[in-house]
Amino acid sequence: MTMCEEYEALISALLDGELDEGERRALEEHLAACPACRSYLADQRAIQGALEALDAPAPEGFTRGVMERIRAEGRAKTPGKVLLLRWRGWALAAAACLVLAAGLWWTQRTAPADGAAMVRSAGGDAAPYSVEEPSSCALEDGLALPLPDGAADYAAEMTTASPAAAAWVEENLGGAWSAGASYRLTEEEYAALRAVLTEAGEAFTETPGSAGAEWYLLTAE
Amino acid sequence: MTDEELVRLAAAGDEDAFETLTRRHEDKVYGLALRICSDPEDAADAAQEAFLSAWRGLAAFREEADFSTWLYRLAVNAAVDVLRRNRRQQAQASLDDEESWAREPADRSPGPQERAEAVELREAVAAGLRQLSGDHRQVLALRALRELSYEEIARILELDLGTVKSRIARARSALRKILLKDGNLSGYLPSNPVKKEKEGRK
Repeated sequence: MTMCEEYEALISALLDGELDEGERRALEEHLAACPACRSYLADQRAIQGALEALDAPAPEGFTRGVMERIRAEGRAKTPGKVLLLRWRGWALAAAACLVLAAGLWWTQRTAPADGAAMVRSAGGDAAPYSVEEPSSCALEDGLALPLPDGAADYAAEMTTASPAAAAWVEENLGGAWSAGASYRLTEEEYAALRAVLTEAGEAFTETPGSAGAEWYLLTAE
Repeated sequence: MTDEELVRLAAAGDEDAFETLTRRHEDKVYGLALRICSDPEDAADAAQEAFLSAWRGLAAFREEADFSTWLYRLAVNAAVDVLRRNRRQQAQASLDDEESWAREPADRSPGPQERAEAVELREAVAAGLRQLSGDHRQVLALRALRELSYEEIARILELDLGTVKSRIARARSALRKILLKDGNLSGYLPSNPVKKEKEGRK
């Protein structure tokens, strides 16, 4: 004895309380006349009962385990990031100085007659370029370095490759936008940038940080 | 506090709020993962991954869906990932181990005989679930949470309503076919008239 396949979906929806009044009446009429479908419905009721009874509560300490992983992640992330930012800052400053030094060397090498005077003057008091002071590299503007003591975490972090973000950073932070660089933002700046990106429909990802943290972090992709 | 309020706090980094959310939903998420994965350890892994994804994604969660709908979607995805990862080990695991989770007797069954039968059917259904396709197992697992309408299941699985409706019906038929084939269905049925009489006379 096989059930009528055209009633399969109706019987299933009956079990789930998803039939409208007309469908329910039609199905009831059919069931009254068809033992095979009645038996099918009975089987499905038993199966549904067993499926629901397969329930088991989450194991003991489940939530604790989740929270421990979340907290461990938070701890592991923060010091690494601080270190990375500092390293990045120095690396950028060093790279910039290298570029300047190379430029200086190139100028000296290629400049003919009055270039010789320049080499001499570079060795003297009126040096046109300085390779001694990283501050003259003017790269730290807008960069998230160095971190103030105690700012171990951020309220939220955003990562984006959006050109709108690049324009915003250059306009509002006065720093150059470069992939991989991080920028430290105040709450107002973060909100403003977020509004700009949302309005422009630009893609960005956000991760919540620690509540009450003073700074927000923006990373260029 | 409502889920929405807790979600807002958690999105701003409030770990305690997220802990409350996790505690509130852990049983449902675990139960869902258990029905998809079969194995309790896999289910616990998948459930944990689901909550971690939720935490990481909270800021991007724009409340376009219910938190629980979104969480169930993460749980289904995590369960499918765990299954994929463990497919080989799972094929080798002994059936006995895998079935143990179905063996806990339910409190609501009254007589010892009925209870034994219910346990037997549960084990058969648990084994039958494992033989279903992933798609069928997912809809039945979601359906077994009881609280979800077809519309919500459609949102969780990102399917249209008609597909959900027919897929659930097909999954039920497929599961019944497996149980019949293994001789695991006839004889348990509470609506079986012969048996009802027998039990009535006891």
